[in-house]
Amino acid sequence: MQTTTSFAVLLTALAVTAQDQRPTALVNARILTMTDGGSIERGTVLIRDGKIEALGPDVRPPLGARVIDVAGGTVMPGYVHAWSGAGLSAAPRAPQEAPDPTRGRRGRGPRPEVTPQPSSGGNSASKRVADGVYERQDVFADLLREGVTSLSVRPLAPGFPGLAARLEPDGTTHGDLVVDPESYVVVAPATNTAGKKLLKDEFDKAKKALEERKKPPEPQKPAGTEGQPAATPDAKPAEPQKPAEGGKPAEEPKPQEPPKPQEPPKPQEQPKPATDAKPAAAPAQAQPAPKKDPNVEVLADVLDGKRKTFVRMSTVMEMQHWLDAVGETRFPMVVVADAPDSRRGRLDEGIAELKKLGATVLLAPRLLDLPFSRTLVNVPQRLHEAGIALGFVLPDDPAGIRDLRFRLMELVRSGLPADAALRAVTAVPAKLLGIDDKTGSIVAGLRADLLVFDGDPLDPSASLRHVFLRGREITKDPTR
Amino acid sequence: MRSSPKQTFRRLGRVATAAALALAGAHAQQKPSMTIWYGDRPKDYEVAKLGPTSVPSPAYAFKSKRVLPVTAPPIEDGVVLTRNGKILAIGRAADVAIPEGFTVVDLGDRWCVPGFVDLHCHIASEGFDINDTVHQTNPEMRTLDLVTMEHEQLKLALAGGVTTVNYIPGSGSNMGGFGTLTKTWGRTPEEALVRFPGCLKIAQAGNPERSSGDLGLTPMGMNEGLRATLTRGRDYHLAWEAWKAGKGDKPQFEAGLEYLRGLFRHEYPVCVHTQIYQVVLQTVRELRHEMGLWTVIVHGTFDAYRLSEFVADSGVPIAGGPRQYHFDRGGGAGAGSGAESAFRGVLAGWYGGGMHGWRSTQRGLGRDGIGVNTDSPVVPQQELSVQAAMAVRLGLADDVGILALTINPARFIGADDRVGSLEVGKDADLVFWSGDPIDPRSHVELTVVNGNHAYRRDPRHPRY
Amino acid sequence: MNLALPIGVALAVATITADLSAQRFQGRRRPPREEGGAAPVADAPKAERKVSSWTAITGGDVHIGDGNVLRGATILIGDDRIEKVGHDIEIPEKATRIDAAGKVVAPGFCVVRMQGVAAGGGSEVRDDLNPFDPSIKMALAAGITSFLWQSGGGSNTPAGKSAIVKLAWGDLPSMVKEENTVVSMRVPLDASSMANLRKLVRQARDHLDKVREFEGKADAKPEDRPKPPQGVDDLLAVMQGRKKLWISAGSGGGGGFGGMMARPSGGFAQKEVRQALEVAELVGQGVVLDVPVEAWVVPDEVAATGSMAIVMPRLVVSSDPGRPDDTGSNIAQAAILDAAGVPISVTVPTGGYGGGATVGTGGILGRDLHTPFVDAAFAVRGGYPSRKALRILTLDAARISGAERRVGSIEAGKDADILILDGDPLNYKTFVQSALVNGKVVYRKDEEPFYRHIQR
Repeated sequence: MQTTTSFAVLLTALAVTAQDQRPTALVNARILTMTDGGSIERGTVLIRDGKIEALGPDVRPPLGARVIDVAGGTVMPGYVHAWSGAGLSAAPRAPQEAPDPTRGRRGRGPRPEVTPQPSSGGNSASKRVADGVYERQDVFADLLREGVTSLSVRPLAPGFPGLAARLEPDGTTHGDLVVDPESYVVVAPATNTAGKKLLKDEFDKAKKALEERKKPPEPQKPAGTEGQPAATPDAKPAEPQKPAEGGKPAEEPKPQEPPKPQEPPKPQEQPKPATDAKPAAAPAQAQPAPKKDPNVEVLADVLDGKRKTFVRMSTVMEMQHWLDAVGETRFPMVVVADAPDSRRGRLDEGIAELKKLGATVLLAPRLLDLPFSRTLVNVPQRLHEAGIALGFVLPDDPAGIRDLRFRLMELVRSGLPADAALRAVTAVPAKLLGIDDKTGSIVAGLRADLLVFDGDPLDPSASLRHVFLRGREITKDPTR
Repeated sequence: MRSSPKQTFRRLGRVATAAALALAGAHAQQKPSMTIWYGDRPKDYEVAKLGPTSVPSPAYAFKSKRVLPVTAPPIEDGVVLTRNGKILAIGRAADVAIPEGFTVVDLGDRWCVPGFVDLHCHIASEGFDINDTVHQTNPEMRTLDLVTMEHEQLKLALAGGVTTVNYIPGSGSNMGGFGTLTKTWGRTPEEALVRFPGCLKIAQAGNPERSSGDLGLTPMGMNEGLRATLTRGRDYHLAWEAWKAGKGDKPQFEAGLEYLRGLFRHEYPVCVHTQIYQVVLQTVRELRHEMGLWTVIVHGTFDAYRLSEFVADSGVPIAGGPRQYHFDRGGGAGAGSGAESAFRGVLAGWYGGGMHGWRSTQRGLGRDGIGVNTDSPVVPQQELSVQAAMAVRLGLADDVGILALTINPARFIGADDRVGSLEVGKDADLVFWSGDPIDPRSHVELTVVNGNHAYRRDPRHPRY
Repeated sequence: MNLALPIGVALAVATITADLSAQRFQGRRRPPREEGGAAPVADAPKAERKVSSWTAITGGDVHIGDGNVLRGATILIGDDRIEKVGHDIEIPEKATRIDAAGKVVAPGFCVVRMQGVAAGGGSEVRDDLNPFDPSIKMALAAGITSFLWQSGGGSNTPAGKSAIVKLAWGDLPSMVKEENTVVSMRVPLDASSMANLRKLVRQARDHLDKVREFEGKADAKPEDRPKPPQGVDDLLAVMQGRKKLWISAGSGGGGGFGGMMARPSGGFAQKEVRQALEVAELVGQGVVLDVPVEAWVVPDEVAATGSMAIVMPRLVVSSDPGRPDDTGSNIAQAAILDAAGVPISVTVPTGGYGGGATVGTGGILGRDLHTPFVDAAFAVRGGYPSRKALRILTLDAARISGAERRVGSIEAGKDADILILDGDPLNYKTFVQSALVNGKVVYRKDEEPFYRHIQR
């Protein structure tokens, strides 16, 4: 326990020097880079101006640098939380699992089947969850203290609930907090007739909208109305306009919502409620001046591969219904399996479907029980062995994040390689979010979003000692 | 007619029991406080009332292709002679001369099988499972007065080959009262009676849990309630025995305890509706080891078969049903570990675990072995044979399946001097089947109870 | 129309004979529709379709589903369908071979009623099927490869949705290939409901006449094709033989506590059976009597309409004490109907304990669909000919479900829904060793939990 004592002293010191502008050197560290470069058993990570300046066994801390000796400890990237409901007013709940008929009352026969009937939802794909994020909430800072250095919050309702936002968890103003209000499109298909019809209908509309875009511009139209991304196929429409990152957000004069090429009218101005109906008229057919449905336009972007799309499908059953509903419609997608259920098909039973969808996977980090059984299956391990890129859905509460390492240990103990488990909470979700050029691994030039443990992160006795966000040390909550 | 077993036979039984105990002795040795009181069956009955020793019936010679005496090898082309309710002779038609005056009933290629015995049945009254749950224990209740031979399900029972049932109170309270061992046919209930009390009915855990908040919500309270009542019964019994031996005053007669006295005299068993490992363990400890009672487990389902060696060593038999499987959820580290979920046959489990029925060869008390029961009308009375079929499906040997329907339950309940097999001197309860009686495709052609035709199949409108 | 044959005649005919004799079909009785399970054609027509994978099941005793057995025969399967059945069949080199020597091969069981397996309660079955429902494996272990799903219906006119759900484990697109083969309604109908039904039938007939007239015209324009009147779609389909009409009677299918039903209930007694047959006459097609209680009293009337029946052999409804000979349930009902030429299937007892028409881990074995053969066995107990009793769960069940084109027997052109068993399919000791649905092995006893520990 000496570590604890000395650490407490260190903490006090750090609290004082939190705004220190000097470079920081984490020395004598085991460095888990989360890249193919693997780990460095004993080396230094040098942090300057919010970024990782250098790392390696031979890196010397420059004169005047703050030096933190992490001998025996480990440095790894901060957790990247890609699918969070933190801070949203109505915390979304996982759908109720189907009742297990084997757990019926003793000797009374199976319980009547209760079929959850989720509503089918509607299309509000252009609605930004960012507009509903209230910045002054403790939860972001609390998560950050537990190591979540990158946080994306998403809307969650059946159908096309809207656009997820990427947050800087230390932001204190809305502008600082929301760094990308259109991080990805969320789809949460409902497995019922109406839900499947919604998918089909909306993607059909989106296909038409896409065809419209690709038509040559009509001469009499004012030039301003087109500017469609299709005209400049090389341009990555979303990325360049995003606010620059890495710098201190305070320095950025709040260019919050850079107009995207196909920027829809503000969703709030849309008269229709989020949960129901389609637009009054299909835009393609409306004459003369076709009004574009922003929700459909967002889906057209999806089909065009211009927006990242996260589809919430926790089971193979849902994937099969998706394929049944959308037919041959394909686009790059991340399958989010936050409520896996072995009674509806484990993801390792749906590798063919995942490959057909070309999907990468974000799933809940836990062992699944076989139906009617106490036997547990390590689904992440099986997906990993099948070569499926694998990220984890992280918990939404600070206590859950503290617990996360134990979930990972469980998976590692039963066969998932430790490296894959840790990448699944760092580099992989960063890649899925398209921010792997900024964070998620320890590479010179990337943001210094780092966690320092006083042992192996997958050792239950190790503790999280330091959290760095953009090179800035996050102080521990003194009450803990 | 009732003769107590021969002395040598008894001694043999005790020796066998002792040997079995010594063999399996781990339990007994580790827990010296648990002494198994085998005791003796009484030479005469003081409390129990027995059925008639002989029932009027014509002289018949039943001929059939196959006779299954159950306790002896099958007889091909056999004949069974019956008169006044009893079997007079049994053997190959070629070997048994049919005396003058016997009506020959030729059943052709039917199988002649003993009538089945169901130890867990609630049907003999109008209505269903019967419960008078005034108190947690109700030793003053009895089903004797409810037996009527006109009950629809008794008629169906005959069509299903069931000729003896232990009609017991329901399991709504821990001690439902005293059951009646009766034939399913008779001109009067008195004629049909085999023995009253057939048993004391006790129910453990599950059904009798008292959610009212009274004592008996959990097994603790249930055990306490049972122990209190049984202890009163034992004191009452001991007071009478002492008085008979010339020690002490004559006890005051107490109607509510009188039948408990017969229980402690081992005139009849306690039939315990009990299931689940922990509850069976506790039942055997409390009733068999602590109270020294003649104990029979009925409605034995779920996973208690894991205790079969201990239960068998304790001289406690089990009638299983009506579920016949325990869904084992398996467990262990990963698929393919061999510990996966399975439909485990309850009786296959009991039998495989050592409950073979050879710990004691004496009747009743101390006898182990397996049987099936219906819990009718939960499962209709006539479907007793389907219970055996399902037990065999899930791993029980065929020949044990037929024992579990006949002689085994007769032995547990102490009625194998009358029913359960085809032997000279036993009751003429014969059922003629169209084939293997365990196969649901077979039907009953003719049922004979106490030598009388009780059911004959009408091919256009069979009862069952 | 006088439907009431003298009861005496009906009774005289209703003896239990082991065979289905052709000379019985006389008088006004409509000849039964062609048997779906004709003898297999050893030399099936050359495959036009492209087959990507072949499977051959060889050497087993093949019960083809209509009561006949081909010893040591080969079944050649091309993808999801049976290509050929018989002896001396040339097996393509690349075929996967399944050796069934010493085993019994039978069509997968088609149950006419099952709940709680794979399908939910939605209005479109294909949109809420769960191809990974673990109950599917339990049902396959019981030999069930398809079942009839129904939703709605049961009112005073034919209505409702239905589908043949194939238990194609893990493969949603293969689970529903036949839809809306069955509609249902109920009896008794009061006078006004009956009048309404007659009116609808009249409208439907008028429409059919117009269609015929239209089709007769040489210069008919497609847009002039007569449109059917509102609300008679299902009725039209029934009248044209495109859909089977199931008729139930209120609580007739109930079993009560312990399978014992109080007498005399508003069940499917003789009067209701007659009314159902009246509906059959009205629509000009045989109907399906859904768990009749007293159809055994009038078997020839049932046969005369070309109707079929779902029987619950273990149903117990007491007789009227005054008329024990022609009231109440009868375990011989299946046998009596069969002797009159009425195809039957069976269903399990419902009500009270037992589990009902489902599989699970809390029911009572022998009284639910873990053992569908038990109710077929009870039909045999009542006198149904043992030799052909497998039909009850295969071919005749498929006919009753309107799916005989696709399932119910092992013959060329049908779906390859096949069981390999270790004995007589209706024996209580027999287990399914493996089950194929749509030509794919979806269950193996030795590889699944449930029964692998049972080795004989």
